[in-house]
Amino acid sequence: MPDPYRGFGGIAQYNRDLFDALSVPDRDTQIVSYCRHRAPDDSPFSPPANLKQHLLPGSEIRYVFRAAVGALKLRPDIVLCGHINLLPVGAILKRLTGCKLVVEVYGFEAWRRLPGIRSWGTRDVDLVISISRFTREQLVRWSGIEPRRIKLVPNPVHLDQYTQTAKPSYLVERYGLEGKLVLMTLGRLPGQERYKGQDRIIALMPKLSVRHPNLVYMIVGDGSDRARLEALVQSLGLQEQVMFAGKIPESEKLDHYNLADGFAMPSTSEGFGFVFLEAAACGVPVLGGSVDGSRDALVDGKLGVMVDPDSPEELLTGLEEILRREKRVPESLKPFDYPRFRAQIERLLLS
Amino acid sequence: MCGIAGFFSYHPVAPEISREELRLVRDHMAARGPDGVGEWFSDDGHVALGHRRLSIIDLSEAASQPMANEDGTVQLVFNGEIYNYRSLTERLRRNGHVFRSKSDSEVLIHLYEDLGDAMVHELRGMFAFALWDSKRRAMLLGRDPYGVKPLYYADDGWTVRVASQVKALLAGNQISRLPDPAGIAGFYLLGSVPEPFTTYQQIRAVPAGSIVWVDDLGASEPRKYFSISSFFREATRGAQKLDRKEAGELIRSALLDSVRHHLVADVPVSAFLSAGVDSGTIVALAREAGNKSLETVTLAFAEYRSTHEDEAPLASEVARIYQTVHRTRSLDESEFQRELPKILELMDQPSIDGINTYFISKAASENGVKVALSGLGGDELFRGYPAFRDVPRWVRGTWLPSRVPGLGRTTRALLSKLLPREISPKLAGMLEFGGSYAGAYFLRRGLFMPWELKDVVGLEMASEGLRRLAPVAMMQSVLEPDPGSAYARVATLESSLYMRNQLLRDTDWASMAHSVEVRVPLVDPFLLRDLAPILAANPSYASKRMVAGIARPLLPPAVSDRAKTGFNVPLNHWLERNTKLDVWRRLPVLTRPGTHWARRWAYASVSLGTQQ
Repeated sequence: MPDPYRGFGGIAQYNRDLFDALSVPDRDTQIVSYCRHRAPDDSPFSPPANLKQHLLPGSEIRYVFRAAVGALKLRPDIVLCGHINLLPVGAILKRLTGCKLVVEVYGFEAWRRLPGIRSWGTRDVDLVISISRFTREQLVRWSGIEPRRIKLVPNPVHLDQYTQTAKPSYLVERYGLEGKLVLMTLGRLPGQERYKGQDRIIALMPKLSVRHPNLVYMIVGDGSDRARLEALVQSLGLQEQVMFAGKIPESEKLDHYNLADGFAMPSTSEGFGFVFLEAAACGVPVLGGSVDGSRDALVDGKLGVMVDPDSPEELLTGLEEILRREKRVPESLKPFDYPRFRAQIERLLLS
Repeated sequence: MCGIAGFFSYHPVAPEISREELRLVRDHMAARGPDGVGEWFSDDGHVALGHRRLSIIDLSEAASQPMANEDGTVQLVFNGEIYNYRSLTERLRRNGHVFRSKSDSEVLIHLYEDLGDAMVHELRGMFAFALWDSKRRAMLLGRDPYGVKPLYYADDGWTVRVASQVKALLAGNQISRLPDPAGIAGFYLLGSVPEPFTTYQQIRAVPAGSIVWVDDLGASEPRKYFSISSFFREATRGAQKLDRKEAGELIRSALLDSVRHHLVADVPVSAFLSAGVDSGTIVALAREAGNKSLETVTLAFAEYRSTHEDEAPLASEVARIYQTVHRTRSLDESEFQRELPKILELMDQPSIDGINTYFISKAASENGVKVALSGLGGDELFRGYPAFRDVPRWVRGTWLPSRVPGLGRTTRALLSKLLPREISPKLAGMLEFGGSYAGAYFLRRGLFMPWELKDVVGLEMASEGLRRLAPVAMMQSVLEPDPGSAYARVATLESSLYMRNQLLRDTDWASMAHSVEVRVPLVDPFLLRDLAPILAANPSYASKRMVAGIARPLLPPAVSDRAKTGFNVPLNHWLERNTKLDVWRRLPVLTRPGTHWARRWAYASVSLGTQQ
C-alpha cells in the first residue's frame, strides 16, 4: 500500500478514505496495513482505530518479502494490493491462503503491460477497484482481466469540507489580483508527466487576453516542468498574464480554488482528475479533456466543459465558456460525496 | 422474435441514459422486428428498455413491448418464443394473475413475480430477455438453455448496455471497439467466435443457459442454470436398456411432441427442406401434428445440378409425399456476389457459415413466410457428424503417447519442420491434442491450429489470444461434469460448441436479416430430457437410421440412405474463380494446394468485412 498517512497526493487521500470506509462501527473488521515510510509526527491525518500499521523500512524487495511473510502468518480474508506492482505477491498469497485478491488501480501505472514478472497474476484477481473508466479500459486491454471484475470507485470529495466563498482578500493581495479574472490550473509539474496541459493554455493566452484584458492564468504547483513552462511564457512575452504560484501549503488549497473564476486542466493522460471535483466543490466552473480519466470527473461533460485537448479551437471555445459561466456548485457533484464512496467500499469489500 | 435493448446506468455517478443512444441501438435491429417499436424509461432516467417487434403470437397492440406487470414494478423486453406459454398462462391465472394480452411475453412477467429468477426452469422455448425489477433495483438478463437466441452486454463500469446483437451495441457509439484477442483467435481456430467472447473486449455474450443480474455493482458473474453435460450425466445414471422397437416408439413420440410445441403461432408456420433425414422428418411430423397447409422451401445451386450435392430433386420428392406447398429457390454466383456486401454487414460476428441460411431465409421471406422450422440439431443428437466416430477413436489411439510429457509438442515441431508441405497441421498435432476428448474434438473441428495462428493474425495477437482463450481448457469445461459415455461426450461438445457458437448464431442473424423466425424442434431441453436416457443407455440408437424410421409414411430410401453432405454452398468454387473474393491469396499459408476452402473464406470474409 502506498503510504496513506504521509503524502497529500490523490492516491494517499484515496487510501485514507478507503481505510475510513472500512472502519464501520459495530463491525469486527481488522485492517492490517504494511507501509514503507513513517508518517511525519505533525501529520494532520489520524488513522481509524481498527487499523494496525506495520512499518517495513528498507528496499522494495525487503518490503515485499516481509509484507508477504506477515500476510502468510495472518491468513487474512482479503488481500488488498494498493499498487498494481504488488499483484504477483498478492497472487502468490491467494494461491497459498485462498484469500480474496483485490487490486487498486489509479492511472498510468495500470495502462500498459508491466515489464517482466510484474504483470503475472492477472488471472488470480477477484476484484479490481479502478478510479475511472479510462483506467479500466486500458487495464482490460493489456491484462485480459474480465471487465465485470473491475469495479469503479471514483475518488470521493468531502463536500462538507468545501465551501464557495468570496475571493480571499489575503491571496488577492499576495498575488496582486484586484480586479483580475483568474483562470487556474492546480497540479504537480513533474517533468515526466507533462500531461496536465498548462502549455496548451499558455499558447492560447494571447487570444484570450483580447476578449478578457484583465485575465490572469495562475499555475499552482511545482515540479521539474516549471522551467520549460516559464521559458514558454517568456518566449511569448506573457509574463504579465501568466503567474506561477509554486507549491502552496495544504491549508491554503481551498482558498486558492476560491480565487479562481475558471479552472482548466486539458490533460491527455489523467487517471481521474480529482482536482476537478475540488474546484467544482468551490463553485468554480471547470474544463478538462475528453480523452482520458478526466471524462469521469467531468461526468461526460455534465459537471464541467469537456474538450478535445489536442484541438486549440475547441479548447479556446471551452475556456471562453467557463469564464462566462456563473460560479456555483453543480448538482452533478453530489454523487461524488464521501457517503457514496463509503457505501461502495462496504458493498465491495465487506458484504 | 424480435430485437431487444436494455440500458442500466447503475453507478451512482453515472449520468442519465441518452434517448438517442437507445434508439440507435434499438433501430439497428429494425430487420429483427419490422412490425412494431417501443421504448420505456424509468422516472429517474437511469434505466431504459427498447424493443423491435416481429409479431408471431398475439398480433394485437396489447402484446407490444416493453411490457409491464400489473403495478408497473416489473418491465420486460423479450426476444423469442415460449412454446408452453398456454399451459403456463393457465397456471398463472389460477394463481391470481391478470393477463392483459394473449402473448407469451406476458407469461415471463407473471412467472417472474411468482418464482423470481428460478422462472427460467419453467420455460420451454428459445428466449433472451432483459427484465427490470424496480423493487430490487436490478436488471435480470436471461438466455435459453441451448443459446438459440443471442444476448450480448457491455459493462463500461458505469452503465450496462444489452442488445440482441453485437453490432447493435456498437451502433450507439458509446462502447469501446478495442479488439479482443481471445475472440479473434477463437474465430480462426474454430470458424466462429466462442462465447462468451466476442471480437470486442468490452462486449460479452450472456452464456447459453445462464442468467446475469445487473445491480448497483454492475454485471455479476453469469449463473448457469442448465448444462448439457449434467443432463447426460443424470440420464446415464437412470438409463434403461430398451429394444429397438420400444426405443423407436419413445423417440418418435418425443420428436412429435417437440414439433407439436414448435408449431404454436398465430401466423402460418413453414419449413426449410433439404434432402436430409432431419428436415424431412420434421416436415412429416409437422403434417402429422396437424399443420394442414405446410409450405416448404429448398435451396438449389447451378454448380450442384445433377450431382450428389443437389438437394432439389429429393426435397421435391419428400414435399410430394407429405403434400406440402413446395418451392425450390435457385441461387447462382452472381446473386451471391450482389448480396455479399450486405451479408458481411449483417453477419453479427465473423463466421465461416451462415450463407446458406441467409439465402434460404431470403427465399422464405419472398414467399411471405414469417416462421420456418429447421432440422438443425439432428446431427448433434443422432450422430450425424464424423466427430462421433473419429474423436473416441483418436482418444483411444493416442491416449498413451499423449501422456508422455513433451512428446506431442516435439513430434509436431519436428513434423512441421521436416515435412511442412506434406503433412497436414491436424495430423502434426495428433499426439499433442488427440489424447483427450476436448483435444481430439479441437483437432476434428479446428480450422487453423494454434501454431498457425501467427501467420494469420500476427504473433502478438496470436499469443495473447491463445493465452486468454485457452481453447482446449475452454472445450474441456463444457465436459464438466463428465457426460458419462463416448456418445454423450461428443454430443455435448458438438451441441455446446459448434452448434451453439456457429449454427445457432448464424441461423439467428441470417434469418433475422429477412425478418424470418427459424424454429429448431431438435434443439429443445424437454426433448433432451426425454431422449437422453434412451440414447445414453443405447448409443447405437442415436443414429440417422433410427430417425429415418419415424416419418409416416416412411421417407423414401433415397433420402434415408443418402450420405451426409451438410447444408452446403459452393463457396469453394467461388473462392477459386471470383476475383473479388481472392484476398486470401495474400496470405502464404492459404495458397498451399489442398488448403480447405473454409480457411480461405475465414480470412476473406474478415478482410472484406473490414474493408467495407
